[in-house]
Amino acid sequence: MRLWRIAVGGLMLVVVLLTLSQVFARYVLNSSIIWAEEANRFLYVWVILLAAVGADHMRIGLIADQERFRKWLTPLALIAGILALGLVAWGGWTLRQTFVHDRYVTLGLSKGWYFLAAVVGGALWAIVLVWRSLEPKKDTRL
Amino acid sequence: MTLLVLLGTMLGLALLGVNLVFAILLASALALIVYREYVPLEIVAQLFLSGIDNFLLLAVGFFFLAGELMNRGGVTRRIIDFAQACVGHVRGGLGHVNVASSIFFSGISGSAVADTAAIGSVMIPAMEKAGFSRGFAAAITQSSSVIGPIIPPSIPIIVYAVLAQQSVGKMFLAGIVPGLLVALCLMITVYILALRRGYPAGQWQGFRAVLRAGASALLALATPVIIVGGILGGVMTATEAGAVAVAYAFVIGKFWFRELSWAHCGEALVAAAKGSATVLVIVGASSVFAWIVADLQISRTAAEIIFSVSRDPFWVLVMAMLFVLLIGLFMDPLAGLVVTVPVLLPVMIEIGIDPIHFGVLIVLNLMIGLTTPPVGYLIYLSAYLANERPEVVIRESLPFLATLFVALALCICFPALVLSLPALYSGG
Repeated sequence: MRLWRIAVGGLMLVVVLLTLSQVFARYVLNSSIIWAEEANRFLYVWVILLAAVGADHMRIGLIADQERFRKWLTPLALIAGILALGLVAWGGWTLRQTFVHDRYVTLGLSKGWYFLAAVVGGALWAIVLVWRSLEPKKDTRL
Repeated sequence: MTLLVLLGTMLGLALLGVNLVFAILLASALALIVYREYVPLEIVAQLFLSGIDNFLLLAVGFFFLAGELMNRGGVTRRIIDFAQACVGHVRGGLGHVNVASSIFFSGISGSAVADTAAIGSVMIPAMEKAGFSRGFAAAITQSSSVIGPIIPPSIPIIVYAVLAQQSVGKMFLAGIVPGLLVALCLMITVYILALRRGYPAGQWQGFRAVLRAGASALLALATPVIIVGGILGGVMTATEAGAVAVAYAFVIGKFWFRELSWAHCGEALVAAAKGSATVLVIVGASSVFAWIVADLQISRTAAEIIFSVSRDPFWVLVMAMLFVLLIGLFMDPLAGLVVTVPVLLPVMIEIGIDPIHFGVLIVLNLMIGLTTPPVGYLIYLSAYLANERPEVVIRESLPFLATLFVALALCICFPALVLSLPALYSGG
């Protein structure tokens, strides 16, 4: 949990600093950092998918939170989540295999890393979903 | 039919308590499997990622972070003090202060939930002490929070600009007048209610108090000017303006007000990442949805349905707004945006409605949905803050709800309210 907070907060900080350096470099040093935009977008995708694992996501509790429906609808929500995330993680994995030799133009980094975000984020998110559903009493929020 | 399957599956799953991201993803995947069997399913993951991978969307994270830092840095209290000095003496005193705080606060944060939480936690107890009912205090807090995402900076407006490929700067400008109009209408309602119920007015503290409170709030109030000015002046992109706002919020919170600790900064970073993740996974899922809407030409069907009733732009717009309102009753504004914009925007463009006008209307409309039952979480949040039953807050909100609809109707009938400022900018 602590590790997750450091990773997410740290990556976010890097993105902010990188964008600020970009503005600074352009106006003060008169030369822009050519790889900044690609790097930022790449890091931001990772920030979002990692943060999504521990974030509170929007849902409509109108029907599902009523006592008599909860028993049936909670597993449904869980299965739907696993299916959707499975689709994302599996798609990410397949695309990673396909595009692993493609590279970011200015970063020189393999595009595989970009698709890996979907695999890691999707899988972790699904694990957290299952884990939370197993311990409903305890507050397992990250 | 395809429209029905796609929207029906999604709304159905969402109502059954499935997270909105998953509902959008699964409904889109189902539509793919049923109608386009030779499209590989990997496209879901690909579009999901590419929906998040957008330079403009970094701004969402930055505006979240700037708001978090301002909040922790002691800005909220100074803004409320300033509002108090300005309008506290009018009949209905703190009710007006609440609305005015929302205006000032909207220039810092881009989200209505942040507004309700920040202003409500300070204003509701203060209003109760001054003799207002808790229900009324919660109602005006949640209703005035609608202003937040209309006045720049605004996260829903950035998302609309991305979806509709409009200029963020112009969209920001377009929101200013409607935001102030909403505030004005709400204040008139507060005034009338205060007269009828005998709510108190505060003391006029004199211009010196306004200036004094203004001076310390000024630093915070300058944020929207820096952001909008920076973007429109061509100095920065919207994303960079967001990052500059973060730096600015950090500097004034840390070195001027001296209330921001390093621990606060760490919390703010994580909170901002989580906040943007909730928004952006929806945007990512929506790019899958938008692809299918375009691929199956679903907006053609929507256009046919709408045009079969009328081809008059005004009535087309009214029908679109009713549809959006219906969606907004059940869905969060961002999810509502990503679902309705791909379907409706092509129709609007075809009939000659300005996408900027449509954008402000749709955001305002969906924000109103956030204050209405059955699924308005501002109600529950403000009721929680006021320690009052949601039903009471809903009843107290009715006059304000009517007011918000009047403001929306005015913006529909008079496009100039929305379009004058952006036109002025393009013209000059």
